[in-house]
Amino acid sequence: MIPLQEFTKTPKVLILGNGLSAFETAWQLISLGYGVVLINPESRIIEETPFLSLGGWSVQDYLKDQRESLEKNPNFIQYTQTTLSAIEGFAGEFSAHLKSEQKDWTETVGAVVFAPELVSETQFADSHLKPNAQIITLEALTEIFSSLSQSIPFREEGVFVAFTPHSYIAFLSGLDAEGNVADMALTLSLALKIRKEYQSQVVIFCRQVKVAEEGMERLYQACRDEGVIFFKFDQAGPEIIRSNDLVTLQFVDAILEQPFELNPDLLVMDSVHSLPKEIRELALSAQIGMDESGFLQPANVHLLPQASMRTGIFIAGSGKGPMLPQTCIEEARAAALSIHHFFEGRSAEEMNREVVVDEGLCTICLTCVRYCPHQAIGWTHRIFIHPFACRRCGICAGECPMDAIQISGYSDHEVEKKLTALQERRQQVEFIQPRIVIFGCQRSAGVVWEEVQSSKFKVQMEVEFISMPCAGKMDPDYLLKALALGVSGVLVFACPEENCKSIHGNTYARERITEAKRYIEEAGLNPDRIRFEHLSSNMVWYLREVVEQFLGELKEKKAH
Amino acid sequence: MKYAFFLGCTVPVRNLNYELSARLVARKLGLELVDLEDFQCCGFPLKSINYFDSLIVAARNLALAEQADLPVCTLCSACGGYLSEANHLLQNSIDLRKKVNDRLRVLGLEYKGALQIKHFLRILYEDIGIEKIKERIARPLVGFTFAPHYGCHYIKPAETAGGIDPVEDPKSLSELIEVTGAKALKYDTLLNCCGGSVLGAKEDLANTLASQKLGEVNQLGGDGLVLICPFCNVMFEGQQKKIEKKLEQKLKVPVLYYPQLLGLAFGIAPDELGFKLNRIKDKEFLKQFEKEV
Amino acid sequence: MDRLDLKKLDPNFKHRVAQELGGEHIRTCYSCGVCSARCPIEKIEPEYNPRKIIRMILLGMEEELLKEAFLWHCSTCYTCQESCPQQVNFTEVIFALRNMAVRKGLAPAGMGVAQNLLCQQGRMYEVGDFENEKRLEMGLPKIKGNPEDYKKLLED
Repeated sequence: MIPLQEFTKTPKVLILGNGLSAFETAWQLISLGYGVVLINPESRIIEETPFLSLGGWSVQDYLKDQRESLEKNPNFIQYTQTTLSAIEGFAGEFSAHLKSEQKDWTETVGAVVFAPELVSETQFADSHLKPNAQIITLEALTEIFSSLSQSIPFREEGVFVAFTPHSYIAFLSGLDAEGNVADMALTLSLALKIRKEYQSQVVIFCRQVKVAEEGMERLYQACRDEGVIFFKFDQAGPEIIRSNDLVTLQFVDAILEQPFELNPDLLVMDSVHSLPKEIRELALSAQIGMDESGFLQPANVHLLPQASMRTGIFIAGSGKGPMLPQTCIEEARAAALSIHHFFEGRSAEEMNREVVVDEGLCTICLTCVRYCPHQAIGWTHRIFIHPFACRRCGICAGECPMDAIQISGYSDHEVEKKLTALQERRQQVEFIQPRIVIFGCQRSAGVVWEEVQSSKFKVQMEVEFISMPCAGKMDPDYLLKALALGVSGVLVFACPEENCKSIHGNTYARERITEAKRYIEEAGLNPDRIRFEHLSSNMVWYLREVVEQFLGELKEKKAH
Repeated sequence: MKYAFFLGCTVPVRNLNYELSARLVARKLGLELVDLEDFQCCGFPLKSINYFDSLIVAARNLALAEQADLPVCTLCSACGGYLSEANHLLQNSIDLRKKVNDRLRVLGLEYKGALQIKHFLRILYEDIGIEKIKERIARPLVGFTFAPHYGCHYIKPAETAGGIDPVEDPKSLSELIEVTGAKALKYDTLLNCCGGSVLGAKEDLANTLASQKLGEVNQLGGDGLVLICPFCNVMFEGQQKKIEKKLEQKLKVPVLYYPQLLGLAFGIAPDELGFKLNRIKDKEFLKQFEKEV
Repeated sequence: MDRLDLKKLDPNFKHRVAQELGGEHIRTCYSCGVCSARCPIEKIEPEYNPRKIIRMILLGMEEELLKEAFLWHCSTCYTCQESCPQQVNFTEVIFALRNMAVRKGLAPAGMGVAQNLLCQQGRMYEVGDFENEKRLEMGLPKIKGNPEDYKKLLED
């Protein structure tokens, strides 16, 4: 490993985005003394709708003030109509390849922040509807209301003919997929405004009313007090029937179990939100990770709040999914703080561990490069592991066919020593057969084992626990070594699915163990002497249960 | 300790045993119960017909008590509950109080909102207290078990009932039974409603509700069901025979009022406590108390 | 069940209930169902379902609701009211609905008796000479009726 001192951290941050999260992050970083390069592919800045600021402040005004202050600051540069084509290098010294109509160039930055805004599309095709005088999208209705002045009711052809005290306005919200709090905030704000200013009847059809943000419960209650009617559905939603120009909604009220129908004077449809195409493509090529719904940041608790899979690249704001302005601001501030901590070197203890590549053994096969979940390994004439980017999970060490990578504290030599010690103990003390070895991830099984040690676990003598930085470091060689030393069985514990700090460590471990069991079987040994389990750090009872069961099974077989 | 004694409609006509035993017990404990002859219906029966009118009826009683400068003691839980509710509403809404007083003016009355209303049992529990009552026990009822019935309007709604007892886990009546030396039964249907409010609208429904409690208490045995409200009495005593037919099983649940139980423990003879008027009673049990102590 | 046209229901019914004494919080209900879950009457007579009654109010099914006999089957045990997380005060709502039904002449026969009894005799059970004699025999004071008062008070 190349010593820490040789790496520099360029105190400059690249931010991708053009909305509230991007500008707030820029502002916070500038205040902390960093240089900021902000790029976005469009020519204008996105302006938020006025309704979304539930706290009573104007998003538009906030953004305007912020942009003005930023543009005056010499440490802030903004490029519009510019895209990011690739991020090369490592945390602290990324080479960001930028592309605009006029030129292509590279910026060297210490960190990158993805703070994009989402694009919205109404799925009219699904319901065979078209926007017309009676059908409108949530976005369009919001725009109409936001361009109004407060007191003058706007009377015009089309939409506003609908707003009388006798008309019914129906909102369809979050019925196709999981709803979200941003759309619900919009819907409720508009519903309340319509009730108060035009006294039209408002009916909202939804799955769940998403209220998990500040001010939302209050808004929901205010809507109910004003007489907004809600119909909630577990699945599907109202049936939409078209005949000529008339739209009819047919549905069953779940509480009364009563079928209803409604011909709304205005039907408001919500949209589906997604990442802009170029952000999605960039996220894939830069390998920062996405979740199953197509938003940034995989659903892994270890990445919260702002981290991506790749060290030095952070994620803030709506890129993770639709959210309210106050949340975007919180995200931005957290991102700026995380970046600041990153630059100041305030990272986990494990960063002090050395990772060494034995050049004599290394054949530059690039397996480690491909397996590293954090993009921390590079090569020139030799492999080098970047000290900031590397998270010391050991997946590379586990996968390396030449066993050329060693992590201090978890090296192959140290593991062997522990296995040998177990064998020597057996020769000294009268032992009860069988003896087992447990390899466990330090974050889950390691924590459980400590808990178990403090209680009176009677089989302690027969069990050796060997900690791994991540189950991904688990090498099949360890299994074979253990069996060769006369151990009756081996247990491997990894963190639960989607809960691995190195994203795939647990999965890789499981695959390796499954293969190893095949080899063992082919060699004529009983593969059930090896067992792989998922375990989280609070499942003390489960570890006990598995160990007792395992010991029981081995006692019965007494096999070799 | 002086209270204006509010009898309501039912007690002074249909439940003289409750009234008699309450007065006797009160005298023994130094609780002075003053009869205001102008007290009439509390207004509760009118609430379903015209809420505002029923408030006026209640406020009339409250104004009379306020005039006499006395807090109110009720025997019936419905009266106590409703007068407390009316009191609470009138104390907390200047607008409502004004509207009600506008109507009371016809009788030359005004309610200023400075009154306190307590059920008889609550006065025993809070104002007199277990210790003081214990001092007067002359004949502990050791070896006997009684099932307490709190009823609904004695403790609910918690907001207006004065927070006497936790709604899900009341203790006052049980402790007052145990101070006599008897055991208070703990049973599953303890918190059940008697169904009295529905008797007029749908008798069968009310009887089904009451049967749930009577069935369990009957099964568990014991020496009786202890009541603190005449409505509950109508259901558990008055309708017991009909419920017997409904459940198709023999029911032997003696029904008595709490002051009657306490009176026995004080050494007073059953006849003096109005037991002649109890329709379902255990004669063998009562024989043991005939001698006054 | 026949399909109902939402537009034919009265969206202002819930606001009228909210204007009634005791019905103020009807609109805070979000249909959690605790009231129905704990109601002792619902266990015996499932047609009487507090959550459904509230939903009928919120959707505007006034005529259908006020004529129902089950409005008079509530035992006023207050269990729903004590359990409600939103302080809808459903027992008070039942009283409000009953008041509204009476005003529309939809209450079952015999329910309006209380008012008449008060005006006639000042109390629910008549206390005449016979009753007072019985009381004196037991050492209890006489009871006086006061029907005049009520006629003046309730004259509307």
